[in-house]
Amino acid sequence: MSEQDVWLVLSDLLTATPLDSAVYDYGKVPGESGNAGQLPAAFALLSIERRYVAPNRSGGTDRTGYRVSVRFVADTAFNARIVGGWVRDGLESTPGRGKRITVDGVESTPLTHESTTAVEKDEDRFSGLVTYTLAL
Amino acid sequence: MRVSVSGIPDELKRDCAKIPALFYQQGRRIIREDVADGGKTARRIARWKSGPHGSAYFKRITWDKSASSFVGFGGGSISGEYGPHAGGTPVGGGWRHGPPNTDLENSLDLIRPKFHRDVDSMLNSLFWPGA
Repeated sequence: MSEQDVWLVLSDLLTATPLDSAVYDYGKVPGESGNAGQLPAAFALLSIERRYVAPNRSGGTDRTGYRVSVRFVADTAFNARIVGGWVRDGLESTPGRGKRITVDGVESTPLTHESTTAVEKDEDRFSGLVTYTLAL
Repeated sequence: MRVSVSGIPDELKRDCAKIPALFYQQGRRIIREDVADGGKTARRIARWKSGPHGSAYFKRITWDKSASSFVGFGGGSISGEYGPHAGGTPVGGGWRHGPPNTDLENSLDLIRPKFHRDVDSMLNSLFWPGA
């Protein structure tokens, strides 16, 4: 299991929202960095990193921790907040209760919200950032 | 046969009376030390994770040198902060610039278990001195 597998499962959750296929890796946004196509009106950027989990007394951990961050971008602040709501609905089954994902047959802990940065002007767009943690 | 109990309620009463003052004193020490540890950890992470354009960013991370406390209205809190100080050239961030900076979150992952253990053992030692 690699972070790529986790990335794919999480992007499936996000593409099931009104975002549809506008879920990209950094540097892969159409109309940007030499990519073909036009810059979408609203899109999300997904990134995953592994994070520290305190080991137990035998020096290991039973689960692997991950941190998920989604940057949601739109042309106005109003729309960016709406896209942020789509991201939240995609990752939480009811407000405050994150979904569990299955990667390679392993079921994760529920996605736990960690931090959110308010929507702000981001070059020619508006964006906000939300991070979640989970363990697999 | 007789059972005689003496002195224990007085000792218990005396020990319990010391708890608020000890809590305040030890609580402030824990906050001061763990905020400093958190800040130093965040600095270390910011330094080794930095790319060519953020190589001096770690110097911006500072921490409270003493815990601040607020007491009033039947309760109180003891708090401290660490993190990058405001101002200076904006560094990183944004949808064109790649994944977000998670240095502070990574430092929290490391300091959180220590902080929980410190608070737990302080509370235990208040009620079971010497244990």
